[in-house]
Amino acid sequence: MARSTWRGLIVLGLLALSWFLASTVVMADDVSRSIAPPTSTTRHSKFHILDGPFESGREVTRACLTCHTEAANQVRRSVHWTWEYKSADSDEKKGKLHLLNTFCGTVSTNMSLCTSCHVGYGWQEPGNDSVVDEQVDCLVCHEQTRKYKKYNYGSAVLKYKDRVLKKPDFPSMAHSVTRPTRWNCGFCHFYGGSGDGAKHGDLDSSLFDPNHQLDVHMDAAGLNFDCVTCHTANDHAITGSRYDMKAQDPIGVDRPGHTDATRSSCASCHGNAPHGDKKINDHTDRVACQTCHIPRMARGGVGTMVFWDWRTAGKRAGDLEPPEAFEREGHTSKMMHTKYSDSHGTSWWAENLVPKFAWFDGRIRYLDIKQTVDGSELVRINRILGTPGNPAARIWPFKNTLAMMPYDPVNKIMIANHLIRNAPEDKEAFEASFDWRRSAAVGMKAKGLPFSGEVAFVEAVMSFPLTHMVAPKGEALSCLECHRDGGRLEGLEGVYLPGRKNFPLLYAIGIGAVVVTLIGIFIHAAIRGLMAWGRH
Amino acid sequence: MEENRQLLFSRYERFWHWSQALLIIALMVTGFHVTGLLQWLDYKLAAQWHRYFAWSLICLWTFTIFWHLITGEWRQYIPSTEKMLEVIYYYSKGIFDPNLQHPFKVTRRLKHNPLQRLTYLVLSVVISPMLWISGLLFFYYNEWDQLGIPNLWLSGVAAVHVAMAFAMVCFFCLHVYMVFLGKPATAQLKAMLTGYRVEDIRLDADREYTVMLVEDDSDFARMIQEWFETNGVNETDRILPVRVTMVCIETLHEAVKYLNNKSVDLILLDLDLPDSRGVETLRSVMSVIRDEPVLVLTGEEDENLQSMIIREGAQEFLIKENLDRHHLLRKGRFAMERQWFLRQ
Repeated sequence: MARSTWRGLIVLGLLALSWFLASTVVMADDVSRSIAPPTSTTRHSKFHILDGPFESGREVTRACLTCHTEAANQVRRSVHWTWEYKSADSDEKKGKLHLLNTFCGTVSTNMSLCTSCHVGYGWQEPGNDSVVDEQVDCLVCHEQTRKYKKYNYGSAVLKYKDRVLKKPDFPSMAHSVTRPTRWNCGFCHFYGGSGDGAKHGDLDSSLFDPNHQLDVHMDAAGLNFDCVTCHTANDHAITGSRYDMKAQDPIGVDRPGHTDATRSSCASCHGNAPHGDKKINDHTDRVACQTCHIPRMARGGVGTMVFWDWRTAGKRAGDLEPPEAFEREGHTSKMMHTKYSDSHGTSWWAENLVPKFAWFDGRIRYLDIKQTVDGSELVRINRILGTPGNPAARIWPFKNTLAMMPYDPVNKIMIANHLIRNAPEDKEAFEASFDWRRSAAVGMKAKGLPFSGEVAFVEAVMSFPLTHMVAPKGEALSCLECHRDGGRLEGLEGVYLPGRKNFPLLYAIGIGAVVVTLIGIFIHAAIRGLMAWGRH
Repeated sequence: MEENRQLLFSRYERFWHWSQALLIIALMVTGFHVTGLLQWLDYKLAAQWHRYFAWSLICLWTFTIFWHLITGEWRQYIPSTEKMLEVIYYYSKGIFDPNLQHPFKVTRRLKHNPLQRLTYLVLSVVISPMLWISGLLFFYYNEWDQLGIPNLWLSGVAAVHVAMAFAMVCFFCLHVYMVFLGKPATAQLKAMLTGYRVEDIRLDADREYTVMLVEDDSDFARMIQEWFETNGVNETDRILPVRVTMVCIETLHEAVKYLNNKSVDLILLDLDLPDSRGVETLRSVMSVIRDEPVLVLTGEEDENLQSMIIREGAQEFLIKENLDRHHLLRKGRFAMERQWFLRQ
C-alpha cells in the first residue's frame, strides 16, 4: 500500500511539474536582432549622368529615368502621386484630394502649400494628360543628404517671381540616392497636419533617431528599421495605407512568394501567436497588438495636436479656456500646451496620451463634404467601422483630434476654406484677408459647393489608428489596465472582460451567501461556547 | 489511560485531502482576483497561477477518481438515510450539549455520516463538475470552433463559474468550522493530519453517568451507593473515570416504569425483588431497555442460573458475598465501555 502510494505520488509530482514547465516556458524571441537593410549592387555616386549640372528637379528625374524606365509610370499610379484612393469595398473616393480633415479642413482648396508634400514638381489634377514623366520627384523619397526641401507646388527650387532664391545641390543629392529611409518618409509624414507630430500621435520627428524605449523596431542603436522595412513596396506602391487597412492579418508570418508580400502588419513577422503564454495569445483574435504594445501616444517628447480651435483665428488673441470636449476625451489642460497664430487660431498639444479604443475591421468611412451636418452635434469627420462579432475586427487604439471647424449654418455643410495663398497676389485667402466669408466663398466655389455667406463653427472629431512607437515588451500594458472597473476599455461593448464588475447581482448574492454562512457559523460557535461554559 | 488508535484516513487520502485543500484555497484567492473582487496580487500573476493550480487539481482529481474506483472507496459517497434525522437533530440541538456524543460513529468503512455523504455528493457531482466544465470552457474559449463546441455565451459560462466559486467558498467556511465540531474540538483535525482517530474508550469524562441500582435490601443498596459516590473524591482512588449519579429502586415495577421513560448508562440488578424473582426479573428488565449494560447481582453460586443470566443478555453476574468496592466499580466501568464498543 505504502509503496504504491509513493509511486503514485512521484508520478503525480512529475505530471504536475511537467504541466508547470509546459505552461511557463517562454518561447525564444524569434525576431533576429540582425536585420540589416539590403545592400545594393549599384552605387549611384559612380553614375556620371548624375553629375549634372541640373537646373531643376525635372532634369534630375530625366537622368533617373534613363535607367529606371518604368519608375515614373509606377509612381504616377501610386497614392503618393494621385492623392486619391478608391476603396475596393465602396464607391467612396478617399485620399487627400477628396477628404475633409480636422486640421486645415481640406487639401484641395489649399494646394499651393499642401503640394509641398507631393511627390511631383507642379501639381496637376489626376487624369491630366499633360503630365509628363519627368514631373515625378525621385529625390524627395530617395536622396540621403537630408538637405532636400520642397516649396509651394512641390518645387525643389525656391523662386520669387522669376528670380531663383534657393536651389539645392542636385548632383550631390542625385549621387546619394538609396532605398528610402526614415528621413525621406518622415520629411512629410512626421509633419502632417500643420507641424511636427500634429496629425498622427504616433509619427513625429522623434522617430528620425529613436531609442529602444520609443520604438523597439526603429531603435537607431538596435534593429534600426526604416519605414519601408515594414511598408514594403511593389512597383512603387507602398503597402500599409490608412485608406486600405487590415485590422488583422490572418495570413501571419510573411513568406515571400507565399503570402500577400507585405510586412506592414505585426503578424507578418511575429505571427498570430507571438506570446509564450497561451492566454495572452488568446487575445490576438480580439485585441490588436497595438492596443497593448503602444501604451501611450506621442511618447517621444514631441506633442501631438488634440484640439484645433478655428474660432480664434484672425482675432489676434487665443482663447485659452480648455474646451469642454477635453473632459469627454479624458484630457486635462495640465497635460497641454497651446499655440496661437492669427491665421490658424489656437491649437492644443499634448504628450503621452492614453489612446481611445474602438472595434475596428479596417474600414474607415469619411464624411462627404456635401453631406449636411447638424450644428448642434459633434461632426464625425471619419467613422471607424467594426463590430465585436466580426472576425476581422479588433479592438484598436486611436488618436482623436478635435476641432472647432467652420461650417455654413444656412446650407448646413462643412466649409472648404481657402486658407493659403495660391500666389503672392492672392488677397482672398484667409491668411491674407483674415475674413472667413471671403476665404470660404473662394473655397466653396472651387469645390462647386453652395455658400450662404454665413460662417459658424461646429465641433468635429477625426480618429487616426495608432500603429507606430511600439514600446519594449516590458512596457506593454499590464492586464489590470483593462481587466478592472474603469479600465482602458471601459464602455467598450461586445466583449466579456474578466476583472470588470460583470455580474453585480451575482457578486452581491455570492458575497451575501458567504456572509450568512459566516454569521451562522459564528452564532453556532457562540452557542456551543456558552453551553460548554454554562456546564462548568 | 486506555486508547484505541483507529486508522481512518490512508496516506493517499491525507495527501489528496491536504493538497486539494491548498489548491482550492489558492484557486479561491487567485480566482477572485480574476473576477476583480480581490486586488492584492498582480492580475497576470493571479490569472496565470489560477490556471496552474487548476491544472494541478485536475491531475490530482484524475488520480483520486482512479484511486476511488480501484479501492472501492467511492461507495463512501453513496447517499444514505441511516441516522439522517438523528444527525440533523444532533447538529441543530444536541451539539450544544457537551454530554451528547455524535450519533454517528465514524469507522474506516463508514467515514461519513449521512449529511456528509450528501454534502460531498453534491460537491462532487454538482459544484466541482460545474466549476471544471465552465473553467475548461473558459480556458479553451478560443478553441470552441475547433473542438466543435456550439457557440455558448461566454459571460454565461463565466457567471456559472463565479456562482459555483461562491458555493465553494460557503462550503469551505462550513467545512473548516465543522472540522472543530468533534469532541474534543481538535479530534477530527488530528485524525485528518495523522490518519488515526484516537478513540478514548475511558468514557466521556465531561459527562455525568447514571447508574441504576435495583435492590430491595436497603443496607446493601446504601453501601453500593456509597461506593459509587465516593469514587473520585480522592484523586488516587478513581476507578470510574466519570461522575456518577445513582438511581436506587427497590421493585421491578418501579424499575420498569423508570426505564420506560429514561435511559441509564448501567443497571445493577438484584434478581430477587419483592415483586419478581430469578431470571424473570432480568427478562422483564431486558424487555424494556434498549442496550444498556446490565450487571446482575446474585447471592447464589448456581452455575445453571449463571449461564441463564448470560444467555438472557446480561453482561455479567456478580456474587454479592464476594463483592468489594474496587471490583464492582471496575466491573461497572468495563461493562459500560464494552457496551460502547458493541454499539459500534
